[in-house]
Amino acid sequence: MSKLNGDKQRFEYIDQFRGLIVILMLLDHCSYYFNSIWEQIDPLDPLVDTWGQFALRYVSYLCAPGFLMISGAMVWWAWQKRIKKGTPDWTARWQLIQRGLFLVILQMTWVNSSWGGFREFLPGHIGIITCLGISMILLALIIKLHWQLRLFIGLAILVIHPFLLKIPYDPGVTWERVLMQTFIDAGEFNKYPVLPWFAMAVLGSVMAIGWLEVWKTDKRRILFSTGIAFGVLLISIVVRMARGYGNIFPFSDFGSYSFFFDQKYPPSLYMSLWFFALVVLAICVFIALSRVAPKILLVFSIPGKVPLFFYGMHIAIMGVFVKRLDLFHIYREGGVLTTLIAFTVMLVVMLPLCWWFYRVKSRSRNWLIRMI
Amino acid sequence: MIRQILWFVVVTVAVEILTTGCSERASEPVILPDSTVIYPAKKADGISAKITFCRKLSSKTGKRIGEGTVFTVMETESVYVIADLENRFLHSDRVLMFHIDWIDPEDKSFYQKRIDLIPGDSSAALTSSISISPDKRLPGEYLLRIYLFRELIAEKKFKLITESQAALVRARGIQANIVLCSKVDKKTGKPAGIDTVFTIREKGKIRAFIDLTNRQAYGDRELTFRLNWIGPDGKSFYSKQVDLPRGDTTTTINSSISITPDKRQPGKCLFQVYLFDDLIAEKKFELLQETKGKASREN
Repeated sequence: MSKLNGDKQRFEYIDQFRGLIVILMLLDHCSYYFNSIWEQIDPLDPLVDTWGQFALRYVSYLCAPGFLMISGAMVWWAWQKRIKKGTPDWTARWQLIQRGLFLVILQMTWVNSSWGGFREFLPGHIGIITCLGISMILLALIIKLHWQLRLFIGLAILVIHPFLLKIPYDPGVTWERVLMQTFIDAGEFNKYPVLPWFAMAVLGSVMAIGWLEVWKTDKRRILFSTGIAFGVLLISIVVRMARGYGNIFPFSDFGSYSFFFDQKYPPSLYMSLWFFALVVLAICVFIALSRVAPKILLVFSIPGKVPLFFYGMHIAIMGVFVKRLDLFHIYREGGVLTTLIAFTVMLVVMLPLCWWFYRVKSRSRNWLIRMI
Repeated sequence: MIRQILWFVVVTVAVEILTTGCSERASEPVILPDSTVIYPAKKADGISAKITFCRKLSSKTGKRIGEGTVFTVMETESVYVIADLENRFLHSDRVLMFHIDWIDPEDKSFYQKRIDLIPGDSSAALTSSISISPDKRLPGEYLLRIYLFRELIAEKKFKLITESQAALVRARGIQANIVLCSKVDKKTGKPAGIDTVFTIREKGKIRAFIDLTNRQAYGDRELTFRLNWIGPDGKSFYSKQVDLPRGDTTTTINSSISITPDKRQPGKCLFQVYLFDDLIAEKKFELLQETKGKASREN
């Protein structure tokens, strides 16, 4: 744990993991802007023709669960830290709700428009940032509950969600589409329905108690986390191998592409459990690596300290230069190699930008800058 | 202790990453004689698909009509694809998830169809179709891809051409020379009694021999001919389809009809040869009423 400016407590392994998440997201978004497979791929039903394309797509599947779980963990940490400082309960919650609302507005204004390089104002749909925002608001409402109760709520939502997906609705009817796709199903209006992802945030808030409070040493964090992760991994494999409840797409054999490629939009129960376990394992890796090789983790620490800035900026840069201005005419003209080159270039651009913004943010008292 | 745990976690994650994305297909494709590109299964009992395009599928028999890889953009016309699955019944105990992906000349997927074959399903082929009317499709080279459990297992190209391009192809295409006769030389198998006027009589027959020239104009494409006999009333009284498969070197096709009094009426008739839906040759002939004595040609 480290401190900045004497008032902001930071958990390096959380920052580093968040850094990994946004870097994987950058890779996926580079693929979106540079890889010609995106002329063909339907994200809701993806088909891949090579191992490279599979890997490019699949690694980004860690991002949403990682984002939501860490967000949940940080909501719990921020709330209980404020309470310990003497902030009234509802004032502490209101601050979290404000941030959630800010994220909802950010998605509908900056994020939606940035994908196309701000060619049009597109407030008419929502996405992962809105999902994060609404989850944050909902979590703020239940954050005071005992961790066992929150664990029950998170698991109950994951268990019930496959049944909710069977609710029939007509995507052509606006209110039905908005209601169902905001909370339960995925579609053109929103690929990240709140309910299953909120459950991940709730589980993150439960894990935070172990990571940030109860498990006092790294050894205990790693031991308990790996135990939980492997247990959940095993359950997810059982759910998948049963080929019924909790699965959305069928698969061929254990270990094949299709075994891993169950539905992400919305996540099946198998996917939620699988990635919960992978997120927990990845956190363990960062806890361990930060002890033995802290310097190599700098590349993750920097963007991980300002993940929202990283998210908003990298899409905007590619949206403007690659899509809108179509510099060098490379929009969706390449393949895996082009994507990797673009990813490297974007990383070189983004890391100093993130470092600069982190310095600005740590000094600033401006409400907007501190929100980003 | 911490190092052991670290290595355990790292090795586990590495194994996870390595096992992630185990492809079930060989990376080196195999090209079949019909130009289907196959990505063979790594396992011997793996499913593979052979892709065939055609213009129509008979609703009664399921027969493929107008097979090929070049189609003319036309109103109300379609291109059908049939993917014949090999080893499919070795996996009939579980759901098989296929995707058929149609890709336009700009490399954009314009239609994707998912087909799940459930246990007990007896289908051994997948089908899909697209409209090729001019308001929907542009001429160019298209690609069709078949995926099994999200992995590419086969692909094949086909071409859409305009009507003017098709006319050009036809102009330099196959020519058919029709010979009508009443007999066949038993020794040589060649037509005998060649004529265009025939007398209706007991056990009488007309045989049509069609000599095909410039067959190579269509490359190694399967050719579907329709031989059509039209009576004096202008209605077809007999039609025969002749399919010449790829690799076939036949240059003569034939058809015959009976001209017994109980079956035919005298009058002017027509014999037509269609290649796919295009009329490529026709020949008029006349049927005369049988007289008590010798058949007369002057009626």
